[in-house]
Formats: sequence, structure tokens, C-alpha cells
Amino acid sequence: MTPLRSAAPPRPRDTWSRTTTTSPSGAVVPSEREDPTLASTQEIQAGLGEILEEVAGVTPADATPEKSFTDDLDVDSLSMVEIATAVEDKFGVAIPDDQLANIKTVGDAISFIESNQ
Amino acid sequence: MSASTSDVVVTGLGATTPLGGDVSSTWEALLAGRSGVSRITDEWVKEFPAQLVARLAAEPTEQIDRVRARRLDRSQQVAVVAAEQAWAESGAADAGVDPERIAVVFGTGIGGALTLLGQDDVLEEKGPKRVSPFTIPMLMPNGPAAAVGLAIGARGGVHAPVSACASGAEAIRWGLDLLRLDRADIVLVGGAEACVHPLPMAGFAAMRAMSTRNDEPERASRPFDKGRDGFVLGEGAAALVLERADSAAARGARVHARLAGAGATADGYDLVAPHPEGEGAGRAIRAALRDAGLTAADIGHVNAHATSTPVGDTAEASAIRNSLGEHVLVSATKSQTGHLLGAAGALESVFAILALREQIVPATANLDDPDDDAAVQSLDIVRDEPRKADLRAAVNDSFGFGGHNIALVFTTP
Repeated sequence: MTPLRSAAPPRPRDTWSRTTTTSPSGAVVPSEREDPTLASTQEIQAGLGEILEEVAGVTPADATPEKSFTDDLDVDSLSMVEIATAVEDKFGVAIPDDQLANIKTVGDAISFIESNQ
Repeated sequence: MSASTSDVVVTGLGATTPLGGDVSSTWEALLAGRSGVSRITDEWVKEFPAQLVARLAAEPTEQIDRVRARRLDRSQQVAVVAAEQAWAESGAADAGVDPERIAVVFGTGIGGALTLLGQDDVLEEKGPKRVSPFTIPMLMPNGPAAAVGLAIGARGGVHAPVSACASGAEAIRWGLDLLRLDRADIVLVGGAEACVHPLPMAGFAAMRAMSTRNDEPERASRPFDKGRDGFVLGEGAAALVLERADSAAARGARVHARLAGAGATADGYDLVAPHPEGEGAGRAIRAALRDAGLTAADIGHVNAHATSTPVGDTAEASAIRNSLGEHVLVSATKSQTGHLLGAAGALESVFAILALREQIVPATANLDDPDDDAAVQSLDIVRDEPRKADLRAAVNDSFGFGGHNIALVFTTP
């Protein structure tokens, strides 16, 4: 049952660490970047992969930089809007509508986030 | 058009209801006398006069893919579940029908209320930029029809009648017309509703339309009984595949029943109150009989709309008696399913068809003490146990706020 309108707390920011990554073995490896508050390219790709899986059912392994959202991953325009909102939640990077139209591939999105965080 | 080509038959059935996640489990539970009604236990309901609901027996999110489900309002999810069952059972997907000759008519009474209200919460709490881009396609009342059309690849027209609690039945009538007019070769019809939420419940309660028998959930929906005090809100969907008899026979389809006729009228009396003698309802039943080329004597069974409201049930009893007589066996299956609003007419048509097919009339639960109303007293309302009967034709009637009346006549094949 949907609760009555209530002062629900805002959705918590994503708590996934921006300063460390987890290796395939599960070991935590320290980031080598100078500014520990910024996400690395790998972290962005992984985070974007999680968003794509949640919003559009894309298998994380398929979310590689060269993939086109519309042609390869079957992500429609409304889902792109959802993805933009999720990116803002996860990385604190807002994607203006005129920029969103230019983001064609996963790599485009990674670059945009990387250069605007 | 010759009579043979305009004969319309039912070749597929689907449903997800408070009694079961498909047609067979729903039918089995109905005949076993089980109730789908329970009491809401959430904190918000404490202030509500009516706290009962007939929830789905099977969650639609467990029946369809997660990513697909998150883009569909719950009313659309149940529509897709029921429609895909009916479509699969009909075997129509393998019949090589041109998609431009496949149509969908799927109604809803309320539409995507859960999305509308949920996104209003988002708007209030987080602002306009956080409102989902899927809000409009999820709340629009043609959403269930559109989702079903996409699911089965229908390109011959997708239509969404909206006539409150007559919507599901009206969809069946539209489907009949489309086939008779040769606008399609196969039509998937049905109705869907999923609006269990505080606002619709508060609204219906404010109309004094809902049962407040909160301490006895399974006994709350009691059509035609002296102690009835309103309906119980239910959720779910039902779907039927309709096609012309000749093409169904040509592809060797299993035929459940014939959809012999339909009638639609309006009360022209009041926005929500039924005409006290069910004048428009009776006129719809007579119109359906004429359309089917049958007389009242041919009809053996009526699956009544009978929502368990004080005024609605007596008006309908008059309509049934005045249009069909006193010989028909009457079932009020909302006594177990609750009131599925825009899905009710479709679900109860499925029940009417199964009654014909199985030659058994479902019982009306909770009819302990029939109303003193003369029309109610005159009817043979089946109670206690389902009754075996020799049935050739059955009527399903449905009425909606707004004065909409639909009657459908089904016969054995």
C-alpha cells in the first residue's frame, strides 16, 4: 500500500565510495588519483552500468564505452531522461537537456560526467 | 455480410484477480467459495471508515519482467498479464494473422491512479524535475490498452473505452462491433483496474459506497443480502480473445463460447445513482437479446453486476426481472472477488463463459437473508453451493457511474 502523503526523507545519496574501488577479488584498492573526491573513469563506468541495469535492464558487461544508447542498448528517449536524473543523484552532475541530446554513447556519458564533476 | 461471417466467438481467456493469478485458479477459488477480501493493516487506514480491499492473489511484478514492469502502471501490468494469458491460450500468435488486422479494446475505470498520486508525492517532495518521464504514459486511461497492444503487436487499432465500472464490458461490445464491421480479424478485449490507494478509497467512502464491515472482511461483500452496506474495492484484470467463427474454425481454434449480442444504453437519470427500477439496465439487456436473436426464455444464467450497494442491487434485480423474468439463475460473483471497477465486466464475462462451458452456476456468497425488495425476492439467486444447470445462453450486465449500462449475451458454441 502506498503510504499517505508524508514527509518522507529524500532518497539518500548514493553511498558508494568515490575514493576506493573494489577489485574483482573483493579487495579494496586505494585510488591513485590526486583529488580523492572525484570518481575515476572506471568508477564512472561502473556507476553508469548500475544505472543502466536498473533503468533499462542493460547487462553491466554490455555497457561499454563504444555502445550507442539507442542503437546498441535499446534505451529510449524517456529512459535517457531517467538516466540523466540518476546520474545527477549518483555523481552530482546535472546534464542539461541540450547536452543530453549530444550524449549518444556510453563513452559520451562517461566523458561528460568526468569533465563536469 | 452473411450471418456466418458475423458470428463472433471467444477463443482465449485470461485473468489475474483477487482469487487467483490466472483463469483456472480464479475459477477454482470461485467455485470453492473462497473470498479475496481482506482488511488493510497499514497505519494510514486507521482513520478510514472502509478498510477492506480485494488484493491481487499474484503480484504482477512477479509475472512480468522487472524493467518492463517499472515502466507500466499497476493497472497496465495487470492488463498485460491477463492479455498475454488470453493471447497465448488462443494460439492466435501462431495463426499468421496480419498485425494490421489485430485490434485491442481494453478499458479501465480509473486509469493510472497509483502513478498519478505517486508522482504527485514526488512533485511535492522533490520538485518538478524529479517527476518521472513515464508519468504521462503510465497514468493515461488508454495506457492499459496501449500496453496490451504493444505486447501482442496489434496494429489494427487500439481503443480504450472509459465508462467507469462498465468499461470492461464496453470493451467487449466494441470488440464485437469491430469484428462485425470487418475492421479486424482478431480483437483482444478486456478491462483492468488497480487503484487501491488512500485517495480513491477515501473518495468512494465519502460517497458512502463502500462496505464498512471491517471486522468481517470475507462477509463484507454481500450482494442482494439485507445486510449489505457497500462494495469492496478490488484490483485485477481480465481479457478475452474474440474472432469471427469462420476464421476461428479455419485455424482450428478452441472455442469457449459465442458472443451472440450486446446492448448499451444510458440511464439519462443521474450522474451516479442508478435508476431505481433499473430502466436503462433492463433496456440494455433487452437490446442485447434482440442483437443476439434470442428471447428471455433462452437465457439460463445471469452474472449480475451486483456490487453490494443498497440501491444498486435492488435496481438491478428489477432490471433482470423485467427484462428476463424469474427463471434465470443469478450469480453475484463480486461477493468473492470484490468490485474490480473497470475490469469487472471483463472478469464477469469470463465467469459467464466458464459457467456455460462447465454447465455450472457459481454461488453468491454471504447471501444469508435476501433483501425484502420484491424483485430480489422473485429472483433465483444461486447461493450456498454452485448449481449444475443445463445452460445454453447467459447474460453479463455491467453498469458504471455516469449511467452507463452494458449487457452481453454469450451462448454455448
